[in-house]
Amino acid sequence: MLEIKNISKTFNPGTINEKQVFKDFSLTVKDSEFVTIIGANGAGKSTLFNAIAGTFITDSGTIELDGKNITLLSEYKRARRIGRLFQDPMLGTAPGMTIEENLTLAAGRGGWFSTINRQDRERFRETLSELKMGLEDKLTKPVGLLSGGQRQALTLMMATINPPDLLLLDEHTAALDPATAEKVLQITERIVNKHSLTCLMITHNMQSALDLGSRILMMDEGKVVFDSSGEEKSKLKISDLLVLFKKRSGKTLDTDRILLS
Amino acid sequence: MDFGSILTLGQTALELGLISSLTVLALFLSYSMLNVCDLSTDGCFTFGAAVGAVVAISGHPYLSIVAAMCAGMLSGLITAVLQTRMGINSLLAGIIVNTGLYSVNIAVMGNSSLLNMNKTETVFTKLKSSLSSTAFVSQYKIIIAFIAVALVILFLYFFLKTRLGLAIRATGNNPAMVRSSSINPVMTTTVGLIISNSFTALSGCLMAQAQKSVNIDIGSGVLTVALASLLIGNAFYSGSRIALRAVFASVGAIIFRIVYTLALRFNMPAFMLKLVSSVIVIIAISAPYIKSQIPMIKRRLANRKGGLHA
Ligand SMILES: Nc1ncnc2c1ncn2[C@@H]1O[C@H](COP(=O)(O)OP(=O)(O)OP(=O)(O)O)[C@@H](O)[C@H]1O
Ligand SMILES: [Mg+2]
Repeated sequence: MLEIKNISKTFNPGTINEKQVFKDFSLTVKDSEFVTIIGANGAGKSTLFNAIAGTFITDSGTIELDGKNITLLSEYKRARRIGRLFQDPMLGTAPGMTIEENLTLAAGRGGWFSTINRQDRERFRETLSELKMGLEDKLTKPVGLLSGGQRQALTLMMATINPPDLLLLDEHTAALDPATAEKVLQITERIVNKHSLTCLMITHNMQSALDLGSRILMMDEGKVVFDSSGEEKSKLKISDLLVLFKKRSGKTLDTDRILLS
Repeated sequence: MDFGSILTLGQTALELGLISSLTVLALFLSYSMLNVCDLSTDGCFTFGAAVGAVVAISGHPYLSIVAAMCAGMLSGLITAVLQTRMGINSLLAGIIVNTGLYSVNIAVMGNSSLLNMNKTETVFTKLKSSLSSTAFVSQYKIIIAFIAVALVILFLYFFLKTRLGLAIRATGNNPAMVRSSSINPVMTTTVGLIISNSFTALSGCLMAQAQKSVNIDIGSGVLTVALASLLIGNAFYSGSRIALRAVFASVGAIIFRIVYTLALRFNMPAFMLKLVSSVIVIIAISAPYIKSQIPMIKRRLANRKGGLHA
């Protein structure tokens, strides 16, 4: 369970660039809940993920994950329990290293002086074959040679090879072509269901926000303006979302990057 | 020039090449793997030379090697702490340590800028006397340098395959990925610099003991020469086999020495060494960039020729 209580964050305080993104923001996500998050540009969605993952420490408030207070924990320590994917497929992997080397680091098993053995390779091959992208036969190829979609799928495997307590997906399919994006989304859904992961997914694709997950959040100016789950969520349509957004935020949802279908 | 003196020259080039290739292997770890340009290299080289010399002079030929490497580790640790824990830019951290080491080195050498080891027992004199009745007696320097280089390459070969070694490589590749693997890049950078500086210090220690003296300037320009050697090696092989890359890094150092020796034969003054190494580094680093600009330059030129209507 993720419990965010009254967090606040102001960037560049005391300067002309001062920007308060969150003020007493709270959010609770139950175990195994798959939450999709939508909202206009600058709503604070990525900043929320940065706060949860520890990219910065919030000015106040507390963040608890499965009952453990992680508010002041540094980013790399939180990473043991929080998996994260970004829009840019380049961010999640080390391009100059092979697929198996990337997976070894992500898996984090064994001592510092352990090396990749046959068992590891077997396990990696098995895991990668789930992707049906043929990556299991390219274990010793540098990741830099893979396509964006393959890299993003690999990053997803790396983030979930030890099932994390929380998975954060920040528009992880936005940089992919539609067919590849669809494929990566399917893989995402399969992996999240397989491990019953608690997952937050930011997307600009209204349809995937409605199709995937058990709960939807709409964010605007650092606040959750709409929160729906269960039966109610499954009945929502894109048109409902647009009307709701207008009503709750007083603006129309900017459509430059919003995908309606 | 007779055959004998060519052989002697070749031998000297090989000795110096092998000993300085230890610094090249240090840069292979810090520059190629960790992506840190360690500007403390010159000072650390002298530090290793000075500490090694002082310990050897006090009558501990073997301990002198260990002591020099420990000195290098300490220097690497300080450079690493400055850049990872104290918010000092990584280039600046190297320069600061380099400058500080100048005073430290003179202090280590007993407030002197020159130490003589003519009568000192070192690993070199030890091997020389035990080979005295064999045919290899004149190769003693090459043998020791070769063993040191082989051990360091072997170490790198195994180390860079371990999880810690992979984490160090990934830190140079994509630090964000290291963090998301729940590994602290501060730790990997620190470990990497400690190890690489121990090689640099070993290089300095052996260089001083091979030439039987330490001068406070023994390390000056070592970084650029080593970088030039590393880039020469890269030109021959830059594939994905780590051990092979390390081998070619040392081959680069030997090639550099041979070319330099030849240039001296053709009456290039010795003081040109550093200019030559600077030019090699400039060419090796800028060539890919300039190459990528050529199509653009061509278009501009074509444009100019085509006159105003283009
Ligand atoms: N490190 C930072 N320094 C200063 N301002 C920041 C920083 N990070 C975020 N912001 C500001 O916080 C606000 C929210 O940004 P955020 O990236 O969270 O939006 P978002 O909802 O993810 O938008 P998008 O849909 O465009 O990704 C923006 O106004 C942004 O300028
Ligand atoms: Mg964002």
